[in-house]
Amino acid sequence: MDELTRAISSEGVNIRTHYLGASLALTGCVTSTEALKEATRQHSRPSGAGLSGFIQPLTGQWYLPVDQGSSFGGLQGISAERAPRDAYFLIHDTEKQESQEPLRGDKTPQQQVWFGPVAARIRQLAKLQPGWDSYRAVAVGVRDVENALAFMLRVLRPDTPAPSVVALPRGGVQLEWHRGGMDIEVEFSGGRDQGLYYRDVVTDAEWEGPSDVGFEEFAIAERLAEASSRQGR
Amino acid sequence: MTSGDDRSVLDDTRLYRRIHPNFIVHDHDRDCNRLSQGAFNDPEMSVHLGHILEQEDREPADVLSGFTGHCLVSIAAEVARKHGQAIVPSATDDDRSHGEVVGDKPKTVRRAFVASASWEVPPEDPCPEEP
Repeated sequence: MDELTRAISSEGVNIRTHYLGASLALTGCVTSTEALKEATRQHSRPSGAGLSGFIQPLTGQWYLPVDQGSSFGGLQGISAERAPRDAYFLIHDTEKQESQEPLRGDKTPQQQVWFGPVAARIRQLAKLQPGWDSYRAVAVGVRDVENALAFMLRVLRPDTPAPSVVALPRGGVQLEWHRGGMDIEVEFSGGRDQGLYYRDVVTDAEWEGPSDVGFEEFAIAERLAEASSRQGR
Repeated sequence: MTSGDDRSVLDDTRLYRRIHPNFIVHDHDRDCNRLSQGAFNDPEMSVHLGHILEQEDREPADVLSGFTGHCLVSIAAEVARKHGQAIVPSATDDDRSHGEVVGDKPKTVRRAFVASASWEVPPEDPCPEEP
């Protein structure tokens, strides 16, 4: 990971890293299209780390490099040269994940059922102006959106249903699922993950703690996917 | 008593809060719409004081005037105080009923607010028993 981070950083791209077990997601601010082009060249498949795409958080627009295929399911495919200067990108370490669940690095975002609704929702939230709640709410913070996206890419399965994405009055976002006999809430605010709230609706048992830990301990992504499949939605 | 709390706002006073549609989330198990506790995630949460509305002979739903698509909930002042909140009247030029529920609102407090809240103007297909 360090080598990858250094390689991209040296090309003028600011990187923040999120590392959990075998799941690697990098988010960064593209500071030059040349750097983006070079990052794409260096880290495209099959060299190890696959560049999954670029996202413009304020619009929710997801861009895929043209050399990764031309079927985008309504999403926009562009060349690296045409990526917006203020785009952000997400990278997955496909090599490390080959032995993991069939997810993430080998799946481009449009293949994940939750991504489309989430991207559409982010586009809506990006339009919220200060005072949007009719009181004194502030606009949604880009960092919190980034962190929420990185979290979802880390922990969700392709067939995990999309959460409700709720803007918070002080600028954060909250992901919520109320299905499968569970109430799930994950809050991102102040530039960081504020943790998971889990409630078993049947037993009324509650749990609060680190989001990634809770998702794994309670097999939340899997249970949500199964519930969605049973419910047919 | 919490610092800054105005005890002239009696415990049985209803505190009304407009709910932006963003805070309405779907419960897929029950196929109904519920209130996200994110609606209360503000350390200086604006509300409308019920006793001022009564003095002005205004209906609670009047505070929705001009805010298309919003819903309205209320909680009792007593519930807010029970969770360490101060109730602070803060009238504005155009709304004498405006006040704030001041204090940190960790998840436990927000959940308690949701559990005790009543819909005054509900969304479509509200979940029964709880907002």
